[in-house]
Amino acid sequence: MRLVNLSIRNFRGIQELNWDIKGNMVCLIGPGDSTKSTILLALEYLFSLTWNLAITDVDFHGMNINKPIEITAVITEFPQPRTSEKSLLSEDKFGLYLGFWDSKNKRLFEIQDNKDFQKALQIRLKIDRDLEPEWQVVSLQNNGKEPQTLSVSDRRQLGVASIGNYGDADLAWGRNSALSRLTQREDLTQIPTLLANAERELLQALKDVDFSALTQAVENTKTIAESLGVESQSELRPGMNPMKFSLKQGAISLFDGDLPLLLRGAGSRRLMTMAVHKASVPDGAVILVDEIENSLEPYRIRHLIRQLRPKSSDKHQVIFTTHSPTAVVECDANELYTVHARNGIVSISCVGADFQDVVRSVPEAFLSKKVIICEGKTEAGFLIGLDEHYWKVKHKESTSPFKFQTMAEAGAAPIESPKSGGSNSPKYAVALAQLGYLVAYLGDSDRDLTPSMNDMKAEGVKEVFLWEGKLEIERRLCLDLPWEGLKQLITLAAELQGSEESVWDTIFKILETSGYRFEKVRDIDSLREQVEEPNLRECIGKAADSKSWFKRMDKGKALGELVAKYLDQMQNTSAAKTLCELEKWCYGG
Amino acid sequence: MGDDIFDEVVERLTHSKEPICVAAAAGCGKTTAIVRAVAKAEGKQLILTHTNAGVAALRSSLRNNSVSESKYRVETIASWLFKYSIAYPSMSGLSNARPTKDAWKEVYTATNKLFKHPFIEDILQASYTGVFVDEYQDCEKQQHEIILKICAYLPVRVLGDPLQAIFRFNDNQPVDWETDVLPHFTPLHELEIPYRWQKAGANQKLGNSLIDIRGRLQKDEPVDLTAYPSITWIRWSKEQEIQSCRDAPRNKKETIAGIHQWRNDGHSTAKSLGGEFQSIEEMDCGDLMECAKKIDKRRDDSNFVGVASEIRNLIMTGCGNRLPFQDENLQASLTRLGQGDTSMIIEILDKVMEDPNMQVYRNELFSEMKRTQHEFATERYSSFEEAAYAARYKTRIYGRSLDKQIISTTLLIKGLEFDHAIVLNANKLQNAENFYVAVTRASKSLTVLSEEPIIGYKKSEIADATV
Repeated sequence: MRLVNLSIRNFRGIQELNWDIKGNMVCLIGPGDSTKSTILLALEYLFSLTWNLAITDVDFHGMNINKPIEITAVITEFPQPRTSEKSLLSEDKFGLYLGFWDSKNKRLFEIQDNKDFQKALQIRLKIDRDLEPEWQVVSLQNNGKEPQTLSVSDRRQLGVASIGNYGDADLAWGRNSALSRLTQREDLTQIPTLLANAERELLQALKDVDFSALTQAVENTKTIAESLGVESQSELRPGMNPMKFSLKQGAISLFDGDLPLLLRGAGSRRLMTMAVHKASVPDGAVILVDEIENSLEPYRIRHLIRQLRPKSSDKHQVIFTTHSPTAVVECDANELYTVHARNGIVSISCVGADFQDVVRSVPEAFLSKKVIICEGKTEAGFLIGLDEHYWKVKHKESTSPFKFQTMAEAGAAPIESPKSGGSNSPKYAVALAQLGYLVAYLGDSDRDLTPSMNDMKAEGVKEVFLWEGKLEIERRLCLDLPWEGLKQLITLAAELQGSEESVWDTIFKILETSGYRFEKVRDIDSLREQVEEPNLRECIGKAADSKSWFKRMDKGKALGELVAKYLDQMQNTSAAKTLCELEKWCYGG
Repeated sequence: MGDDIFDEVVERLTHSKEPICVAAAAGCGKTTAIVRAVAKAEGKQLILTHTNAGVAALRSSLRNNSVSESKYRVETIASWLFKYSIAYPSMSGLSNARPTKDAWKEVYTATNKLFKHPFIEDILQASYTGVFVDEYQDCEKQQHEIILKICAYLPVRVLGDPLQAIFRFNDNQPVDWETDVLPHFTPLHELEIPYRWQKAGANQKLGNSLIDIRGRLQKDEPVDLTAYPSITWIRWSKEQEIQSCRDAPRNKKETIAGIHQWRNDGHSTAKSLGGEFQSIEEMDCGDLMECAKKIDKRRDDSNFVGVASEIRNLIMTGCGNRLPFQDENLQASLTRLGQGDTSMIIEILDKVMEDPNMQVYRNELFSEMKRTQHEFATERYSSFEEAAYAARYKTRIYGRSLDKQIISTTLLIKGLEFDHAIVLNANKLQNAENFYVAVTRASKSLTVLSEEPIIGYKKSEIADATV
């Protein structure tokens, strides 16, 4: 089976969604609360193999129970029915409800103009205020035909499997489990006999249990019974109650040696469950996985995605969500779909091949609401450090005008541009803006940007923050830090480099090449007496930049932590102004 | 039944992958052959026939032989094709959701258009492993075209009797067995052993006589009705029509049919018999629709009393247009009817029935009226006529049950079986086919009324009659 369209009305966070599903490998990504998981849950409900769903008023969008929940999908390429199953295409099932899917142009028609148009069905789950779920097939023809019920066994035939965090039921031979589906029907019919036999043997074995500890109690009971005139038919004795040992369907599960597979790690269980599902519908299962990375190591995530990805000869379809950059990178850009929700109106767009290198380079960006594309590692680390040690603290105060305390809460993520210092970074900002993300750019102004600041804004980048004076971050900070902070910066650089000597050597060298005459003392107070302060600051900044004292994520973060201590004293500096604007954009609503 | 020819026919019907046809004389086991083949064949069979009576007969035969319902679907060709073409209006071009009479032609044109699309093959093959079409001599040319299309997707077996082709009237153009059927369907051996008359209690000699008569009719030879001891011949007169019905061997278990060519003759005879025999309605039930239209017309000025009288005259014996106004309850009902309460029509008629001088002779029409009122009361219809259509539609789908003693026409009782039959005026029968249908309805006794004992017919060729 293949899903080609999904529309959702009034379900949880989704007021409205209409999505043409173009591929057979679909990875839904997007910031938190973008309703990715709701979409997966909607699909799980739509193809549920139960008679009822645990629906309450809170499942209605905005708790408005007067508007029904409607989850509607258009599907094609129905699996062949197994023997004894009635074909969904037969005239007394849904043969008279079809529409036609032009897979080339991805459009639905009432008329089968071309023999390549695939047969399509529209199935719907509708839940009214009475909370009774109704599964139906709705005609794709304008013929006024009443919808027809889509029964549990019809849904089972569609072969849709939702892999939850606990796929345990699927590793046992239970009702509707994937293992059962993988089993020949004739073999399956023997299970009740097997269980009954096992039960009998079990009870037989239990007969020999030593109950002597209970002898006295039995004697007492006998006396009481006699005093009441209740005569025993034969002998009173303790025994095992067979009712307590009834083995139900699902009691037989998959073992690895002496251990049930259910006792293996969660990751292994998930992998196994997915494999069994895929195999159980050979001509096209639809596999739904919410948060594919759960319980899996990065290498297993990558392996799993490769395993699940349909090859050209495969007929199955995989739809999953992820929060993991590892999973994002493993996906082709054509397989990635960004989900954005604005006031309940949800839109999904395919990332597409044009963004392939953006995906490879900055996968994290796809998982945030607001993205600050930073020109280099220093900026990215710096912002993280500042967030943790300055803004977070400041925003905790009741006077804070901001809605969110941390960047994470605000859904904002500083992302380092892939090729540090490269001129490509503005391009990534534009690309993400086009995919519907809120994007800001933070960079040096020491060279011309391509595209330019104005072009970036025209392309949808919300803000472009540049350090004033055509400077890199290090030089800007060396100019704007209070004197005490500058001292700390040198100390920090020495720590990070692991050598006080090399830090000072660089400073001395820059001072020398700049033509200053001075005595080489490792103390900026003394140096200030020999070189004018602005010139000295300038040279220290150049030294920091040229020897990449902070050009690493962790080093940038340490720099941020340091600046956090002095930012309050920097009120009127250029760096503080830039950071203040950035703060507004980041933490604002 | 167990002769070799019959068994071979059943075998071929069961397993043949190519299109085949079987010609069978009346009562020679055609239905039995279908039932046995359906029971033995793999998968589910689509069984099509022309009339709802035929559908009911096939269904009950399948059920009586304990064939699992999952192995077949029985429908009229018309309703089956309609179901498809109305489900896909964009491809079929059909817009009329309530076809009657001539409008059915549009349905066939529409289905022909629809069946050009490739997905039809998938639906048919997902639904059935084979198709039977019964009474194929009644298949219209347009339907025949569609059946030929189906031959490309599923094994199709058609069965029928050219000598029972009585649907040739107006612009109805049924297939010609020689020129339309045989070129496309391989013929199997003809079934001509009169099994129906060999059963216990049946008149075996009558069966043999009918085979002899069949041979003469096929050769356009005259038939001497006095030459067969198993057939009672009576010289026709208007009085004898009534008398022969009264004289028929009547008990509660046995069925009797008096057979006319024309419907109005049927109604008139039934009326004269004072309710002892019921006249049955044609499938479209025109009089029901007419009555409904009249009620709709009178709904505006709330004058139903006249309509009630007219309806009473249609379905009841007893003279005059007057209703027994003296009765108090009736008076109250009439007042409410005057106020526009249509349900009173039924109440008044029920009331009138208590009068021993007034007897219903069109039970079916009466019960359809009641069902129409019932439908109308659901308030789902904007007019009585719509409610009438809905009521009759349900009858089409679920079938009707006939009274034990009926008066009817060849067209309406074709395919039905009775214990006793009285052909009320053989001279009025239009052709050999109508005569053959009429005389082959009874299994125990046959009475034929005609002006002379020797009577000759021609086989029908082209449209020559109006019904």
